[in-house]
Amino acid sequence: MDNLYSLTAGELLSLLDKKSVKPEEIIESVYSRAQSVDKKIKGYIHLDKEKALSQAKGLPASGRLRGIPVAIKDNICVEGELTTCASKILRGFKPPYNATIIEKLKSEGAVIFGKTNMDEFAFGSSCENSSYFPTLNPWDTARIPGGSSGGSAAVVSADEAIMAIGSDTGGSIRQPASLCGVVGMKPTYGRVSRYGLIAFASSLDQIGPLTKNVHDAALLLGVIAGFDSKDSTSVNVPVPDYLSYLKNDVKGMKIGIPKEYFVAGMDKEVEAAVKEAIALLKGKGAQIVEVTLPHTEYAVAVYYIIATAEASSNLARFDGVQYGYRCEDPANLLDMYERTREEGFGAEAKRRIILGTYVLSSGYYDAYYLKAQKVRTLIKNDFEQVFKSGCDCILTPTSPTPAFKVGERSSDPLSMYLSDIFTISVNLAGVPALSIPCGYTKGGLPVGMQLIGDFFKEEELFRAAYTYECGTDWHKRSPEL
Amino acid sequence: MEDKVRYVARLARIKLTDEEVTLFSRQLDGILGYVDKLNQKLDVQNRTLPMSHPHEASNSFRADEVKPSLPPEKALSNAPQKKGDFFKVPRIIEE
Repeated sequence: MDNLYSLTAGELLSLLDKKSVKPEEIIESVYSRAQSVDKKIKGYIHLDKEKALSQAKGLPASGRLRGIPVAIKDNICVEGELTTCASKILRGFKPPYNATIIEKLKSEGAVIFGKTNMDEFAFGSSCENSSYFPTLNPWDTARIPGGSSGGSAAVVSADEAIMAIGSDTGGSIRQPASLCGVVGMKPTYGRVSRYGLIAFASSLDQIGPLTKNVHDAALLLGVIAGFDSKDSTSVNVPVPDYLSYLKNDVKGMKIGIPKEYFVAGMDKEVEAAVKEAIALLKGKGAQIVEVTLPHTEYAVAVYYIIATAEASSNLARFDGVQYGYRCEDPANLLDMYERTREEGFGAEAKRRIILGTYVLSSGYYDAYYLKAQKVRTLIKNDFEQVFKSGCDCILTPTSPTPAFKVGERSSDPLSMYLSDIFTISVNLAGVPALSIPCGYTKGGLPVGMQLIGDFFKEEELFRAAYTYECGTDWHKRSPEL
Repeated sequence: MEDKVRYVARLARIKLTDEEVTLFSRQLDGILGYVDKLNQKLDVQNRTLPMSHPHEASNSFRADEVKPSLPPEKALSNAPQKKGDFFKVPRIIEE
């Protein structure tokens, strides 16, 4: 059968069920697609056909993802396979264990299919901060795919993977999903185990799915979610059967539109696409109400204090002692630390370590870090108020603009940071959110909208997103490559 | 700002070139100017509690059972330098 690579996991699973296709054929098809288009996209850092095929031989007899190739962001540990966070300081690193989500994927029969490119240590919104090469947007290769999970979003969009896993600290799944025209979800903090995810900001990081449609996102989250004793921040809340919530029905659902997210200066085409999406959901019976998230304007400032503070602490472990890069001929221990980190980290990683160390340093801690933690409480309270008022979800644009040009923001860190303005609050609060395609610009670039839910209510987001998807055909479009 | 960047880089154990110090000083000035809106525009009450984590913090206990740990050869498999069952590093104590 031709073009297996272009199908969704749901479609392939029903073909597998009927025995009209074999896992090996799917792997061959997706691999040859990657061979032919990844030269242009550069979404993969590590991809080995034989390793993918060898997994097809040892698949469990049954499983919710049996025979489905899943691409993995390069900051998630796969035992014995290169896992480098797209950083020079981890070149050659092969983890001695699997992340919990890798164990879960394998036990459901998924095929671990390659490692995808990212901004180094997930520091970025464009995939330009990879130490290997930038990934490019399949819809326009002069543009960035978003980041930091830009590789995962791009390979799903370009049909080089059936599904992918990303991580999201301030929008790193949702923003690239939006810019590449795929579905991406950041689950509730604690919903998915972070064991084996190389930490960026531990109170914000969460692993989640990037897929071709809402069904596949619900399927994949159902596999990776759940309590894990190896992650003390994972939460023991039962995982619902997300697929059972995929009903084309939002009657009675109350959807809040935060006025702070529709401000002067936002891209007109993005605004128009999101407003049309609101109208569609209203037409399907959802109740649309205006809500307020009054501390929105402080979110980016709070985020870049808290995220860099946590990052500077987490990245202290890269010191040339136990794994990864070590500088040549160190004169002494201090010289080894300083030169290993100088030579091993890229510019953005250094910038964030410096900023994070600064805001935690004596004399500045109260003015920056403690203040940011307090405002974080206010931001979380904003969301709690909206959900207490009876809203089932909140609808916003995912990104204020469609994909920008390669190089456009790379010399100005602040303008890059501001591209996450609509996604960051969600991580600070800890609530779940999903991005789904909601249109295209005249120039043919995807636009995404974001649905934000209450804690552990991912199923409400799937229900709203699925209903929206049933009324549109954005998810059926593919880039010409 | 440049002195602060040099000082913080030392704390963070990163050597920076003079060009990096100049560049980061300028960029950090911009970023800190931006985040200063927290101090200038927002009056946070003292009773607002700082938040370090999305969920109420509580200790997470597991049963005290013996489980296999990472064997030394696996733990050492990524070491830049090793000797026997140890990570090898430059001399720490000066003669």
